[in-house]
Amino acid sequence: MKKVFIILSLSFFTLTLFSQQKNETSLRFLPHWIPQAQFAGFIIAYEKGIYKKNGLNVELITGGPNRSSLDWLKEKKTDICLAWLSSALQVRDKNVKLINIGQLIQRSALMLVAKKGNGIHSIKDMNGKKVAMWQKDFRIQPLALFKKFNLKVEIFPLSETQNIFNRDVVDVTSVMLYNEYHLLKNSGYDEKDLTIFRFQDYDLNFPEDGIYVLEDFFNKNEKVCKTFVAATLEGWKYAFSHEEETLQLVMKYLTKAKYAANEMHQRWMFRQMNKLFQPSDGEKIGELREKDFQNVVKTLKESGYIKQNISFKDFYRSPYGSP
Amino acid sequence: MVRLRNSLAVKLIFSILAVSGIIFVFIFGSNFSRSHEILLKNVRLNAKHLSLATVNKIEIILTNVEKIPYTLAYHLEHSTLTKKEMLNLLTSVTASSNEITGVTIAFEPGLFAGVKGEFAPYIYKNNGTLKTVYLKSPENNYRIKDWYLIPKELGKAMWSEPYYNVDNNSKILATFSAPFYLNKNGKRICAGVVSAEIDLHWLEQIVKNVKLYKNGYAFLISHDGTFVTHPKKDFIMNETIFSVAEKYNDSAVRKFGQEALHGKSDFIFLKQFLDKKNIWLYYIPLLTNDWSLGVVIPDDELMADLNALTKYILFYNLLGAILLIIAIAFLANRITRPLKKLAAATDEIAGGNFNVAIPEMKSKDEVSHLAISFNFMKISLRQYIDNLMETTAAKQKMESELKIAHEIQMGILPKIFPPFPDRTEFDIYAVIEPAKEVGGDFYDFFLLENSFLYFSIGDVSGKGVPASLFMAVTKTLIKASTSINFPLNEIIAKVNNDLCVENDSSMFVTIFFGRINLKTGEVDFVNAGHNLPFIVSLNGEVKKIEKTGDIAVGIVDNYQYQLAKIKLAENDTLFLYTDGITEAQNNLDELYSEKRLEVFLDSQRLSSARELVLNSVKEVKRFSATAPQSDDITSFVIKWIKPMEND
Repeated sequence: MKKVFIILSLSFFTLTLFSQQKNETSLRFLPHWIPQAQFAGFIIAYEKGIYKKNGLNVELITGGPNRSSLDWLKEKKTDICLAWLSSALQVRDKNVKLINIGQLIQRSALMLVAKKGNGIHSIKDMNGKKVAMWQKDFRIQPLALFKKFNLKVEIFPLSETQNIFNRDVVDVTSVMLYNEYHLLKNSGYDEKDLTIFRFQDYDLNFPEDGIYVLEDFFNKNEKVCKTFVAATLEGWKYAFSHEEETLQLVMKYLTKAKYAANEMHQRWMFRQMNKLFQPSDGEKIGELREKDFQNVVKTLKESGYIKQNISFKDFYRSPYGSP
Repeated sequence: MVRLRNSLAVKLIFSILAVSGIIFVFIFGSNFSRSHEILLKNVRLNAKHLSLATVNKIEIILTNVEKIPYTLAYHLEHSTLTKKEMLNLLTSVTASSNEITGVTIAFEPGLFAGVKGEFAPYIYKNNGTLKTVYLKSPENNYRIKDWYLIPKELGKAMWSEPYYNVDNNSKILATFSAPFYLNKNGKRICAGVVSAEIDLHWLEQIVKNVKLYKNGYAFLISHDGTFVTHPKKDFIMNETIFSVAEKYNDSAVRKFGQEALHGKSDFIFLKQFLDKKNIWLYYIPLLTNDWSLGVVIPDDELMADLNALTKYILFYNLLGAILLIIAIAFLANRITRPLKKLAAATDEIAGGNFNVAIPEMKSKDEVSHLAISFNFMKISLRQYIDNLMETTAAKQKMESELKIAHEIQMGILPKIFPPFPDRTEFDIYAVIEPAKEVGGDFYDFFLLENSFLYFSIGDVSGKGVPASLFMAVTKTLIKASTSINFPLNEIIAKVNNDLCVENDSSMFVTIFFGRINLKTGEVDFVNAGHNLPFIVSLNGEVKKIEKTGDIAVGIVDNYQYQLAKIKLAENDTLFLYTDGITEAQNNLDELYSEKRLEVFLDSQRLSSARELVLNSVKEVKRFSATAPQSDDITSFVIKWIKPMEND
């Protein structure tokens, strides 16, 4: 989802250059996108030595558009990965026994945005309009929404840029709150010119980034997995209270991975992450709520993305104890 | 001494400086603003021409590139090419252009004869050789790419946003894509897109050359506000004009970005652009690709010449002001120095020193005229004062002599009361209240043979020394001429004759002359034109002595005066007076008059002689109040108490 369409020649860049200590457990971790503020907590936990302190020797694998984190997990090219709940459920439906061991983003950052100038002020106004969407899992919620409101829309593929929206090929586009929405603002759109549709407002809230491992791996390394999640959450907490330091590190990672690094954009993303992490019930961060889980399962089943019944108990291991 | 702030020099300096200051500010201000306007106008024009030239330069290159996709699209629409022919064509156009780095002909799936599904040959330059790639899903799903999708959907050829080279992040590329069409079943449908890709490195060089003033620069922003070129390398492809506006929290910059992206052109002032300097910005759209060129001119450099000129003008104006102050001070001093000397001389003169020299003036201006007049005034004043001093001395001398004369005059009148302390049968008292000048009133009394009391009262005509001398002579003559055997009228006749002799000044004197027989109360008298005395009885009767009709003494030689007689009762009072009483005036110019006197006397019948005399003077003064006394007031009272016992 990076604005600039870079497909880096993918090469691992190994961050574990330090000599490994005796009691350390090695772990490989892959996020589902390029290094950015979306993954600040992991970077902090690594850079500030929180993983090390907890006896973990974590390898942060650089993510990117051509690295599907769930594929890598399935293929055991990584031990732990980040993925959307809806994506993970579909993989689980295909009998890959993965489990969620921590849920970071509680609310959908995915949104639909339209230009008021094109006459779209309410959800009904989207009927008959052209809508740009990314592929696959990015379409689940929009399609469910259109079905729910019985809207006929013409769908356009959305690439790495919002140019088809900027050039008025489409009337409605998809954005991530923490990413493209800010980029739109930085292409000159004022908030007042845009109509925003948030899925949580239409009972289609999908928790997004969650931490996944294969069940087998978890059963063998339960303590290590829980330590990883706890250390990661500690990293996030540290990050949220140390914005400047965190942003500096994020910028360093972005530059190192040869991505355009815009500090204001990362700052925006980071601040949105803080909001998206906070559960609506004000409880601890990092937990998957059963209600949210059931809502996603229901939507996926209704839309035919999954067929099996997946139980919350089987799918989720709370970082704070038994679910 | 004059206080500094009151001095003429300071006042002149302040008022002239104030006026010239206002004039200067006005001229300078209008000149400055006009110069500023002209400067801005010229800079705007310069920036405009430079921008237009730059935009032209860019657009010529871009337009040249555009020709290739257009031409290819035309070929594709009007001829059927085999795959080989197509590749040859692609190869030759890619090789023929310096700017173009690659060309693609991308078909909608199945629309290229002989190929099922996607067909999109892409020929690009790589280290001097040409390589061919067939774009295919899923790795290269060209149909969702902006360069393909947008022109196809919008049905028009257009430039893409700039993007980084896939293999090499340092190269910024842009693509011009033109859709081409086929007729299928009588319907014109989009068959695909031809695109030419160029490396934008030359753009940076062109824009870099746009420079107004030392630190001026230019930048290019793309259709979504992304910096394509900027002197700051990390801005390029990484920041948009809006992200920069967000970073520096500058809404003016954001507004400029929105205007620029709407294809507008303007010359604007931006305060503390990117948190630094104030700048002027000229921006103009590139019509070919909807980008915008901004030309930045630092305000301080733009204003440098004008500011230098301003400083120069201010410096010389300051110098001028100083010269003006000196000139005014000099001039004021030239004016005030003689004036100060004059003032000092005046102070001396005021102090009484008329010998002080009035300073001489070399110049022939108003001040020297003043000095001449002043000198003339001094001389006149001195003469006047000399005269005055002489006159005053003479007057003082005369006054002192008059005073002596008056004292002598008064000295010859009997002034000791009671004059005959052992005599109880009569009471006598008199007083003269002199006016300011020496007057001619007199009174006198004396006893002869113990039982005859001679008395006289007189008033000489006129005033001053002659009158007082005439009075003295009269009084002396009367006394000298009196003898017990002479009747009173003869005595007065003799006095009259004596006074008439050589009376060149025609003076005369009124006299009431009488003799009381103290044994009988019989009074003989002569009245030579004098005010008639009153007789105040104890019982309250006040009566005037009857008139005799005789004239004053000293007028007619050998005049026969008549003797008259009256008889006093015991305790009768004889009130004698001069016209200083009856003719006394009050503030309303009324006379005291005999009538008032009569009323007064009526209230005084129990008074002693002394009381009556003093009361009468008091009464007249009361009447006169503040009116000046113009004549001597003489009050003379004889009270016959009882007959004298025989010796």
